Amino acid sequence: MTPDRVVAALKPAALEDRSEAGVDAAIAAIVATPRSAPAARGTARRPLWPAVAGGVAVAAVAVTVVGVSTHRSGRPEATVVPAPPKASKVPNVQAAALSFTRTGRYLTVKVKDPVADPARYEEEFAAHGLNVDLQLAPTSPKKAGEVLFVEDDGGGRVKMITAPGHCGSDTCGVGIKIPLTYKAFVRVIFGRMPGPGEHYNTGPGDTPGEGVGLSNVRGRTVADVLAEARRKHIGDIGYRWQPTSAAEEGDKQPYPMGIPADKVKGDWRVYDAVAGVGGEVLLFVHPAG
Amino acid sequence: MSVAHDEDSGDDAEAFTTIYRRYHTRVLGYALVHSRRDVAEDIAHETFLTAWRKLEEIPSDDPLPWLLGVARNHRLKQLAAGHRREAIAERIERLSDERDTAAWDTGDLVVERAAGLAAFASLPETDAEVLILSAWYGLSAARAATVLRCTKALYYVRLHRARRRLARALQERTHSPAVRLDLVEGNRS
Repeated sequence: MTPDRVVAALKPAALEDRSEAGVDAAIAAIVATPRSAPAARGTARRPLWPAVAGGVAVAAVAVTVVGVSTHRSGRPEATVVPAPPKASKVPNVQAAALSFTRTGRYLTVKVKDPVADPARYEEEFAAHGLNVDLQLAPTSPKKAGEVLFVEDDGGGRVKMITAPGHCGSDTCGVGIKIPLTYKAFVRVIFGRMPGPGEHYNTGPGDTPGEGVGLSNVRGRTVADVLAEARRKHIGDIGYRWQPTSAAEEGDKQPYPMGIPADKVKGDWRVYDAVAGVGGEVLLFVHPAG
Repeated sequence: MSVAHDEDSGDDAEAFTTIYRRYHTRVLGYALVHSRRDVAEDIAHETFLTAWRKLEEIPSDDPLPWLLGVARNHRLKQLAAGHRREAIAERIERLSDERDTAAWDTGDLVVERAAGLAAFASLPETDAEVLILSAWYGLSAARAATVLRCTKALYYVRLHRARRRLARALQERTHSPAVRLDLVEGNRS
């Protein structure tokens, strides 16, 4: 018996259950949403992940190049420019993404390249016998250098090295301090400065809309926010229903799959604007009144 | 605000409909193994919205790794946004029903289902994720590496490590020589 057979047998049958109900409506709702313009695609845009062809090593292709070294200002208004991040030539030889220093029975690991592909961090951790999934996600400048998420299967003996507000240059100063013998799985996500024009997730304490380069969107009309988006060349916009009462939560809302653009009126109110995947901006809206 | 449709939009809608009908269950299943049902449904919805927007990027001969990669991306966004997650083994337990116990009993698996699940639950989440992609979706190394956005070489390392850890955990729980550590090396897909 192989371990694979055990894993295969653990697959719940319920995962294969098909639900035919509502499928046509779901497809129709998606097909009614706008596509991104073909002109926006191509080399200027970072792919979601590298194309895997044959035995080609792809880690180098996946590196995000967003020009962080030229980016020092701490103010979001100054850092957000309308153009999407431009990919530039990626060198074949890469410097280490992490630095490892031994102090007593601990290993201090610091991030040297805050925009490296997470797979590179993982490879370098693995080379030291550690099972760490470390990621740096773009965040609001005031949360740069802070821990956004942590998961530790080994009793929490890993210490985080944070650098609040100081994660804007190439050496961002965040990292972890981990016992030498630690074998447990650790996942940690640090915030880093967004690159010019790069979207980031927002949460409590952030200004609604700042993560997608818009000024505070809350309470403004759709028409007003769209005018600002046009000025800033943000064209890839999707709409989501903002529930304003418990009766509109989840599937009870009119458009659980997203609102087709032609159903949204200019006088509707905007509650938030967040980053979708692949450069899309999602506006959370609700009819006025 | 009108929706821009090009001349091919009818064909596109047809192609998208085919992909949705064929893969929605599997994408939702992937999300369900990692997230609560309401979050998982969001992830599946967002995945197919992305698929519609980026239809040209989907490899027409093999959409599944592309779709799972996008689903994983949406899932990690939820994580980064601070959503609590459950372990994969917890999710499996929650999703299982009498069909699974019946199938296990007729499956000639040597170990008890509870022991198998306990061994699986002792693994780090990265191990569990890799094992599932291989054993449940039958993804080859290149396809699984597409989903995980890592190199094929790194995927092999992770899969091998995960199989060894699971084999050891099974042995500890069953004291069964039937768990063949030597077979862990083989069966590379």
